[in-house]
Amino acid sequence: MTEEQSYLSFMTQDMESKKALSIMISCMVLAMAYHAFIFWNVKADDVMARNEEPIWDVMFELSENSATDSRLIQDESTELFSYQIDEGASSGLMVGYLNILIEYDETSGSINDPCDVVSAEIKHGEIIADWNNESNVLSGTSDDCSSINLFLQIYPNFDGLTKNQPGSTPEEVMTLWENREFGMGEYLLSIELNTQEFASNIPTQGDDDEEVSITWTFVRFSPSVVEALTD
Amino acid sequence: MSESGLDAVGSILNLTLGLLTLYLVGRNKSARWNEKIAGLAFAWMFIGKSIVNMSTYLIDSNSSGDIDFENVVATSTVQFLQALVMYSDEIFTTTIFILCLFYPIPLLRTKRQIKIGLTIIFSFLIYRAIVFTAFGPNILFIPGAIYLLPGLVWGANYIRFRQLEITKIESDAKHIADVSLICLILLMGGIWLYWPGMLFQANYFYTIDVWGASLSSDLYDYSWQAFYAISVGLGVCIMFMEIYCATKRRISPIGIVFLLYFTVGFAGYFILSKTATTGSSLDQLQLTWDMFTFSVHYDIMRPVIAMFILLNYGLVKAENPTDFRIAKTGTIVLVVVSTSVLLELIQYVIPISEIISAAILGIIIAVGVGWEEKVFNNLITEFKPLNDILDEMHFTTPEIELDGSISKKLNLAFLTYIGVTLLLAFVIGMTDGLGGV
Repeated sequence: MTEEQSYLSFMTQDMESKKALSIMISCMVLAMAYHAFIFWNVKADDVMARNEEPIWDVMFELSENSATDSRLIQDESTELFSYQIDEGASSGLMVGYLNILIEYDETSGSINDPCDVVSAEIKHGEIIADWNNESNVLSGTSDDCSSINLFLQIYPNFDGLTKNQPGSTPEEVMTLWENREFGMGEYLLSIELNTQEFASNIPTQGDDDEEVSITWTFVRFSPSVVEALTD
Repeated sequence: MSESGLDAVGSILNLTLGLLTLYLVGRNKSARWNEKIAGLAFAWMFIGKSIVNMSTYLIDSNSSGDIDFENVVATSTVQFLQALVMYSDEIFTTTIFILCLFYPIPLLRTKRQIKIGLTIIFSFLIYRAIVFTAFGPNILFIPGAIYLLPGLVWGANYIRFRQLEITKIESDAKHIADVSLICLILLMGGIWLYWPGMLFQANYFYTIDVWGASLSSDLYDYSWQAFYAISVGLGVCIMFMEIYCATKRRISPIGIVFLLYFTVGFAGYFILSKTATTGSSLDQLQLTWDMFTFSVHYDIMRPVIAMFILLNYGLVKAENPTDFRIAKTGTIVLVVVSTSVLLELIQYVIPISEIISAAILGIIIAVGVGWEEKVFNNLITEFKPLNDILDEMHFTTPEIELDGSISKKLNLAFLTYIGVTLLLAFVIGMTDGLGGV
């Protein structure tokens, strides 16, 4: 053998080496051909869909909790109502939204004594909620004894209906709906009362207070995720 | 520690080893011409990978929110880093091409062949950089091509010399086969961790998408995977060869490492094939498995393997006490950093307190004092001069007098490339160069 011997001639100098190298190259070519067949035929659908995120149905099991409170409020005064929700008491459920119903009546008993004016406002406290949601009704006033309905969207995008959401895994989708920070803490509602009297020359017995009752209704939920059925 | 944390450690490790290797290869007077070129290729491989790892770490940190690039125009910065990953990865490609043409057997055997060979390799580097700059990840880039030539060359070396060892009882031939195999493990080890996925048609192999759908086409991803498939084919062939050698009681430690990769790959099939439909849909167990195997190979095993080749086969020689100390320091840094990273990974899975893991590391180092010196001494002194083995096989490595400027020219070429690509990556970032691809 000489220095001039080429690499190729050294590698293929006998039949055995030629056979071994042929087997090696055959393995490589076979692997490539097999892969090409699987990639473009057998797994073509999976390959094309490899970057499409699957769609998941997020469903909610709802639970409604109500609590009532009532107080006698003096004329021209403001009362603060509060309601506390903490993680321990929420039984692992997420807080979706809050409805507050404020009801009162004219109780003076005098004929023609008009209804008092009641103003209510949910205070923007420490609660983490979707405070800027367009559906929110954070304050309201009534002067005809009709009830006042206030609404606070707590968990963003939650409306109780099933959602279609893309996501790599069900866990990833679930994390969007398992944030227990939303809605925890103390809710504050201020109610102001201004009494009204019937304007007449006949002396009547007006009132200077009114009983206002509050109903807090929290809609809570527990999410579950299943892969959406595709056509 | 997360996967991106592993990238950061890998980056620092690679940079340290790259600079140390550059220094030590330059000082190695007894290395043959092909070994000198191979040593330089290893040094630049480390440096290139260091840039890739750091850029990947910064991209991942941005997407996970650890580092916020918002104040420096997020899109342009991420695109700058993505381009840098690609350009710097081409340094790795180039060094692998150089290595397979020069080491352990020099395929290019005359000055003229060397000049032509290196010119073609660097022309290919420039071609790919131009294609990427102009078109982004495009099929013209020939994605995955890095695996073909080295696979053929090192695969052929391995098969031929294993065969010589077994059939002609040339026991030293195994060293050439071993070096070729370990070079293949360095290059293809990560792919071999996925081998059953290809054979058994698992989604985790067939949906590999290097750049993500928004950037790369189906054809581009196919090209990557096709070359992965070639690597798997070669791996299966080597596996049968190693099993055959084992039946003849001639299995080598490198062969055992190779079989270990294949065994881990087989075990991984049962974990990774469970649910995965896309790369991003791996569950926690799959992600952890991937981190312990795939990422550990790329970020930790590659530097360890490269350092082993450099020291054990004499590409780096400690010819005086100062060089000896530097080489030893590099090795110890590599071993200690790798061990501590592995401990961190274990801590990620089994939440033991940091104090306990620090204590375990301390005990390992304390027990290992002296042991690492012995290992290092064995590595640095008991190497097999591969060119002597080739002489014995009657395939003498030709004596070629390469003037000293070859090292300078190679270093300058890589430095210039890094400088130019930094500029190109900046332009890509500023012009939203990857946005419309």
